[in-house]
Amino acid sequence: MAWWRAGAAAVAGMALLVLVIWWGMDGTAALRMGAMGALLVSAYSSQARAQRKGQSPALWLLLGLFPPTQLFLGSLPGRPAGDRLDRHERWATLLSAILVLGAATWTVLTFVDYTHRTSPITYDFDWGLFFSTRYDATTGTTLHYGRMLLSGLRVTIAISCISAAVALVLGTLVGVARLVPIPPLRLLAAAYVEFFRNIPLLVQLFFWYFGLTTVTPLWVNKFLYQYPFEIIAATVGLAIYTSSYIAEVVRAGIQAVPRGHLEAALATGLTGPQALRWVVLPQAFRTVIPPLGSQLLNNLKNSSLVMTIAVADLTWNSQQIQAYSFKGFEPTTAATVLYLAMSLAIAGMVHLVERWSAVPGVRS
Amino acid sequence: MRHRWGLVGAMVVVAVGFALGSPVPAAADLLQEVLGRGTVRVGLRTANVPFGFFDKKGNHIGFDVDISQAIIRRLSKKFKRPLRMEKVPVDAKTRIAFIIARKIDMAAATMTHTRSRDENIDFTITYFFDGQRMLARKGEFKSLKEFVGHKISTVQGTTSEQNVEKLFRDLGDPNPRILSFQQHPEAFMALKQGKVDGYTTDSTILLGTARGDPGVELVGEFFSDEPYGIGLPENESNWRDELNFALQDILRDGTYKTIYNRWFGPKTLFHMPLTRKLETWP
Repeated sequence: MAWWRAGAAAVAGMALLVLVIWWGMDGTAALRMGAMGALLVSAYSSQARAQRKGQSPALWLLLGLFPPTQLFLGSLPGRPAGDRLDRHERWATLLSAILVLGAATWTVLTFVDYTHRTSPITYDFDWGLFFSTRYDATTGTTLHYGRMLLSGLRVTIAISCISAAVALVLGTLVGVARLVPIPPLRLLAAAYVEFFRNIPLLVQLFFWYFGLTTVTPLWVNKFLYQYPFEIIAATVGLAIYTSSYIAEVVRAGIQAVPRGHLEAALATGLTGPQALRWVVLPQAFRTVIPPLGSQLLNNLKNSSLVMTIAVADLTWNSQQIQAYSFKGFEPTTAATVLYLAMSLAIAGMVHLVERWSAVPGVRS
Repeated sequence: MRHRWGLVGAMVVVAVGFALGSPVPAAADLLQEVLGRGTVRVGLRTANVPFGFFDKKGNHIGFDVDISQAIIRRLSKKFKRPLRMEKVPVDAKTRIAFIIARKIDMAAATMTHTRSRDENIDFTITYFFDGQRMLARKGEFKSLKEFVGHKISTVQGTTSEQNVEKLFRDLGDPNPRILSFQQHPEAFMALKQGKVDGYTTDSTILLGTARGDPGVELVGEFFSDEPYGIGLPENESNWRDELNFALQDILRDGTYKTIYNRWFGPKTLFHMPLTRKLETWP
């Protein structure tokens, strides 16, 4: 009975082709076509699978039209409990879900009435923007938007990595300081956390860049200005802001270690710092790896604010491209995709660290 | 095997509807649309003294604001329709995108009329002539050549940014160090604090941002021509004609001169004599 499927696929394909030729092909149409295809494939494969497994094809056909539901609905009427989608099915549905949601968003965007007009405004996507050199008629210079974006990416990665490293060290010190039995130190650490955690990052960046140098002596400023001071200020600002959050995470991790462990460590003759280094912190860090990862993600995304103090990071460059090319959606989308990719990379690394550091047989 | 053809059919209908959401080109005439709406949406800068900025009471004022108001009054009189001005804040990066997206009908936003911009939007005739210069702390620099190798501040997304890069390359500096801030006050503050050695943009904006600060001075000659035009959507020739006529009318009846003297007259901080004659058609 496979012939009707092949026939239906052929007819659908022809219909698509006719539609494309009839209405012309622009970026929006292409995306809609892709999404439509994905939708059909998703629905079709979904009902085919249901048939294979002897379940209601109609139900699964419907579910295929709303791919995300398949990710969450493991067991359905007629399906044994725990019979979840396998890896390939998951990826296929996720992909089609993204395409469908993208296309739906796009359709809505296309119909957004920017001008109180009754007719929709289209937007012609020009992804070639990033892959070729553009000549600027006004200044007679050439620009390569793709390279601009990459140079911004480099700055963002550098600032995020350095500030994250500094923040981890600083945050751990402050987090520990909040728990040591020395009241002045504890108070100081608490003040540090509450101060830097509760002031908007934007204000802090302006402080580090514009504010601080009004009180430091002139020779210090002269020395600093030899270097790219805006990048230094941005990195320091980010590091200190993130460290206040990390301090709280570390404190929570330490407090999650049962008090008995510390007492036992001290009872065996370890000194306070030794007990901290060999007994408490190793456990605390394993507990806080996931929330620490979240802070690293925040650190990356917060780095987009450094453009306000003239650091040419990824966001700055995407806006620069917008200013020169008059196209907003492409550079913004490209920057979004790059931020997402970096975030996923960080999340992946954090996950790996979590697995490597796990004690065999112990569930964190 | 049972197949639910009804479902398949419904699915196809949904999918085809999805695909048919095909764009229809905009046909209406912007002039008629504006007159029908009764509001003109004008893109104005927010931190450009003296073109578009907020005074201490929070009023959005400036040369560009007054010119737009005068033009709209003219249009209102000519078409015998009350027209209201809606002030839409824009910055150097959004002004053109807003015009293209038709979020605004015109942008009086210190916008230099350039060929590359003209590929995407249209402009009225030039309503203000300016040129780019360099501002430095008093007594530190004598000529533009001396700035080579020094850090310069300006604002992101402006022609100033491109011009100064070109200037430095022409002066033999392959890697100009230019810091592009988001607004003019920040670029000026960077100069005052010594983080950069020069701050460059169109001369009137330099003077406007400095607001008579005695610690800074203009150095060197003009190094660019910046004819300002009012930006408007591409291919709206009726709308462009009316804006051009209105501009020339306020030039003829002296309204332009009054506005000019209010912002650039001898008694102002930004005194700049009106040297070049604006275009008027007989």
